[in-house]
Amino acid sequence: MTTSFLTVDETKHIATLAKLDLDEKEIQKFQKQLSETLGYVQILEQIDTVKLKPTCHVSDKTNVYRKDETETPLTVNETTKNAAQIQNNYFAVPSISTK
Amino acid sequence: MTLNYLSLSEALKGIKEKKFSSPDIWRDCQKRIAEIEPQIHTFVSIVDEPQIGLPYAIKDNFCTKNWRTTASAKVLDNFIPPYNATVVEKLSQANCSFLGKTNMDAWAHGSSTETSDYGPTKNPWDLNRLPGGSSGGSAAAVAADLCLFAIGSETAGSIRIPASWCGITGLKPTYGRVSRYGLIAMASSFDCPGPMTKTVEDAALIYEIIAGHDVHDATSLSENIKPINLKSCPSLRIGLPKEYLGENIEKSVKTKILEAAKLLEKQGHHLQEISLFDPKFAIAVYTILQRAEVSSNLGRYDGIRYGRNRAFFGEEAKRRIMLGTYTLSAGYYDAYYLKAQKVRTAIMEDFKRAFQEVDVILGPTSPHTAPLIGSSFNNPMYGEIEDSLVEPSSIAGLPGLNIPVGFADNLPVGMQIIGPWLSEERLLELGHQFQQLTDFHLQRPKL
Repeated sequence: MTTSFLTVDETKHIATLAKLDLDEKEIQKFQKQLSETLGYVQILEQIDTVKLKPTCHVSDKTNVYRKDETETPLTVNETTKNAAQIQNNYFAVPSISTK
Repeated sequence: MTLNYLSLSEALKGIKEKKFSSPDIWRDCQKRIAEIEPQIHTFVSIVDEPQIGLPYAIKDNFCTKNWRTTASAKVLDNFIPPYNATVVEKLSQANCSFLGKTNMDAWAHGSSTETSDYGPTKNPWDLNRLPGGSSGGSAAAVAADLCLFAIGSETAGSIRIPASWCGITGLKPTYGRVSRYGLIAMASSFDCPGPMTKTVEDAALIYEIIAGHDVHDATSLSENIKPINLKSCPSLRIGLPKEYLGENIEKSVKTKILEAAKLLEKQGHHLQEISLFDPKFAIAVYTILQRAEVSSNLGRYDGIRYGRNRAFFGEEAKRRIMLGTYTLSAGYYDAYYLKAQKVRTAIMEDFKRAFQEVDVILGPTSPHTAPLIGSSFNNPMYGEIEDSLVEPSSIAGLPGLNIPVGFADNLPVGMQIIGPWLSEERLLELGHQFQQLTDFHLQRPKL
C-alpha cells in the first residue's frame, strides 16, 4: 500500500520536530513505512467512540501525594559523572544564541 | 547435575540444608556462561567476580548502580547509572545478585531481540531462531540455565513472548504492581517489570520480593499483595476466547493450548468459550499509544547529561519516534492519539465484562513457535503483529502468565493465563497446578 498519509515534506518536518537528522534515503523509507502504518491504524474508525472517555492511565489513581520530606540526594559528582562536558559543576550545553 | 540447572526454590532448599552455598552456584553459572554465551549471545555485560547473593540475570534496561546500563542501545553505550532500580534494590535485600545484564531489542522496541544495537540473541532451542523479545536475553539465559532466574520487563508481550518461544515461565504483573523506578522508560503507561523463571513456583517467589508500593514511583499500587497458596487452586471458570484461537493461529499451537485446557478441566475447572474484542484493534491502539509515549520518553536523550547524542539512535527507535511525533503533533492529536485512548477504554471495558463471566482467560501467547532469525526485518509493524494476543491485556494493564504447554517440531509452545486487575495469585496458583501435572517446564534445550 502506498497511500500517502504522509508526504516527503511532512516526513522532513516531523524529523525536525523530533530533532532527528535523517538522510534522504531514510526520509524516503520512513515516508513509505509510516504511511503504511497510518493506513493500518485507520481500522479504529470502525469503532464508535462517541460515548467513550479517553483512558490515559489504566489505574484509577488520581492525585498521588507523598510526605514533604527530603531524602539524601545524589552528590554533584554522581549526577554529573555521565555528562559529555561539565563546567564548574554544571552541565555544559551547546550554545543556542550568538553574541 | 551442576548447580546452574537448579530452580530458585531448589537452590534455596539446598543452601538451607547446607548441601552447597551461593558461591558454588555462581561458579557453575559462570562455567556454563563461558561455554554457552558465545553461541547464543545472551548478555550485554557479564559480572566476572562471584558475588555473595544468589545469581540472576537482568535485562539491560534496569539501572544498576555503577554498572553500565545500555538498554541495548548505542545512545546509552557509555551510561553508568548512579543508582539502582527499585527491583534491583529489592532483590539485593533478598540476597540476590545479578551476574549479567541481558540483551534486548534496543530500548525494548520489538519482539525479536534482533533490533538490539549489539546484535541478536539466539534461541537456545534452535540457534537459527529468534528468542522473542524484547526480554529475549533474559528468556534465553533461563532456558539455557545460565542463571537461577531472570528479570524482564513488558510493555506489551516483552516478557510473555520470549518466555513462550524459549519455553520458560514468565509473569507480567498488573500495571503498577511492581515499581518502574530505575527502569529505562519506554511506554510509561504500559511498562511493567516481572520475573522470568524455570517454574511457576519461582515466579511466585520473585513476584513476592519485587511487588509492592514504592515512593519513587507515583504510579505504583499501594494495595496489599495477596497471599499466594500454591498448595491448592480453587475451581475456576476458564474462558477460551474464540478470537484467540482463530485461523491465524498455527494448528500445532492451537492443539497444545486445547490439550492444556482439557487437562485443567479434568482438575475440576470449567471451560467456557467467550468472545473478546478483536485483537486487530488492540494492535492499532497499541501502535499509536506506544509510539507517542516513545517519542516523548526518548525526547530526553540529548547527549548532554548522560548518554550520546541523537545521531546514535538505531533505525527502529527513529521510526517509532517519527510516528509518535506525528500522531502527537498539532492537527493530528484528536484523530490518532485521542481516538486510540478512547478505544483503550473500550478494550478495558470489554475485559471487565468478560471477567464477570469467567475468572481467568486462556489462550496462546503467540500465534506460532519461534520464527527464524531475520523475520523482523523490513516489517515496520513486526512486533505488533507478533504481539497481537498479548497487546489487549497489556493495554488494559492486566496481569498475564506464560507457561510452557508442549512442543511443536521440537520448539516450545506457550500458553498465557490472563486475569483481572491484581489477580496474580490466581494465575500463579493455576499455573503451578498445571506444572504439577506436566513436565514441559522441566525439558531443556540440547546445547
